[in-house]
Amino acid sequence: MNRNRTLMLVFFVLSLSVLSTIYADCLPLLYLGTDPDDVEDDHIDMKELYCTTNATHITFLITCYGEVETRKKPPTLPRNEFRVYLDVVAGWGDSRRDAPLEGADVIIEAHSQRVYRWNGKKWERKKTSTAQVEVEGNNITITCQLSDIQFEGASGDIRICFISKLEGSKEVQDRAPDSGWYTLEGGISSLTFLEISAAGLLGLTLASRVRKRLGRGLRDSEG
Amino acid sequence: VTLKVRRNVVLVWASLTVLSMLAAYFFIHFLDREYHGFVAGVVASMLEALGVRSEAEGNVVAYTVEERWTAVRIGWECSGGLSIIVYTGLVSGLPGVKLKKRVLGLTLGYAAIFLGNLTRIVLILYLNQLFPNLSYMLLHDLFGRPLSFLWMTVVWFAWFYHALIKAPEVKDSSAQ
Repeated sequence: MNRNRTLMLVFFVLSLSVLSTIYADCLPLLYLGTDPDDVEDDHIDMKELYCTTNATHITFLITCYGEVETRKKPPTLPRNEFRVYLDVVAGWGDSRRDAPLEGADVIIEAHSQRVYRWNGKKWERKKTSTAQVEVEGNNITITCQLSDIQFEGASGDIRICFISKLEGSKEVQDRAPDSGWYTLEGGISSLTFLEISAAGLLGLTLASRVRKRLGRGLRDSEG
Repeated sequence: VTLKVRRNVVLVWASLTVLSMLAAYFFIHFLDREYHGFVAGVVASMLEALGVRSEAEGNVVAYTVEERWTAVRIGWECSGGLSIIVYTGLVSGLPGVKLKKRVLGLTLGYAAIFLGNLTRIVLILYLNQLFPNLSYMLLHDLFGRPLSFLWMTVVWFAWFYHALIKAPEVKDSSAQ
C-alpha cells in the first residue's frame, strides 16, 4: 500500500514537471488596447498598443496611424517624443499635483532610449539602463530589461500608459489609453489568511463532529 | 506542576507551529521565480489541453481571448503560498500525531493545495476565455474564491480527521 502511494506520488510529480517544461522562448504579443484616431498628426497618433515579455526583457510595441518620423542621424529613433509610463509598485510613484501620470514609477523614453525611475522625490535617470528602440513604418518597438523596471519584484497589477508629443512641445498630443491605464494583470489572488483560518476552523469543527458521532455510535453498539 | 507541564507543552507546539510556518515562508520565497514559473507552465499546459491557445514564459501565462493574446502574472498572491504556509504550521504544530502521519499529512496536503490552486486558476482563465465580456476578477469572486474555500475546508477536514480520529485508533491498535 505504502509502495503504491509512493509510486503514485512520484508519478504525480514527474507528470507535473513534464507538463511544466512546455515553455515558450518569448510570449506572443499581448494586446493592450486600441486608441482612437483623435490626433491631427497621424505620425504621433497611437493606434494599437502591445507588449510581450521573455525571461529577461519586456517589449512594448506602439503602432501609429501614420508612418513614424525618424531622426536624420543614426541611430534610427523617433523624431517626436514617445514615452511609456509604468506603475510597477502599487502605492509608490510620482503623486505630485502636476505629475503627467499620477502613480507612475518608471518612464521609458523611446526618442532618447532613456529609462527613469521615481526615487521618492524626483525622476532619476538610470545611466546603466537603456531601452533598445526600433522604428519601422508605423511601428515603434521599445525593449528594456525586466530588472531595469523592477518587473520581477512587482506584486499585483502593472499599469501601463503611453504618451506622445511633438518634438519640443509642452503639451501631450496623444495619450493611450485616453483615460486610465492598460493593465498587465497581476494574478488571481488566492484565499486570505482569515479565509484560510476560517476554513481550518470549519474543517476542525466538522472533524470533531464526526469524531463525536463515531464515539456515540461505538458506545451505542457496545451498550 | 501539571499546569506548568501543560504550559510548556503548549509553548513547544506553538513554537513549532511558528517555526515551521517561517521555514515554509522562506522556502517558498527562496524558490520564488522557479515555483511561480512552474505554476505558470502547468497552467499554460492545462489550458492548452482544454483547447485554449496558451503559452508561459517566466511567471507570465499568456492565453487567447477572442483571438487576441492576454496575460496573467503568477505571483505570490495567486500561487497558493499562504495556504501552504498556514497548513505547514498547523500540521507541524498539532500535538499527539506520529511523525510518519505528519509527513504523510504534509505531503498529501501540499499536493491537494497545489492541485486545488491550479484548478482554480485554470477554471477562471478558461471561463474568462468562454465569457470574454466578464471580468475574470468577477469570475474569481463568483467561482474561484468559494471553490477555494470549500477545497481548503476539505483539506483541513481530511487532516483533522486523519489526526484526531484515525491517529488514536493507531495508538489503540499499537497498545493492543
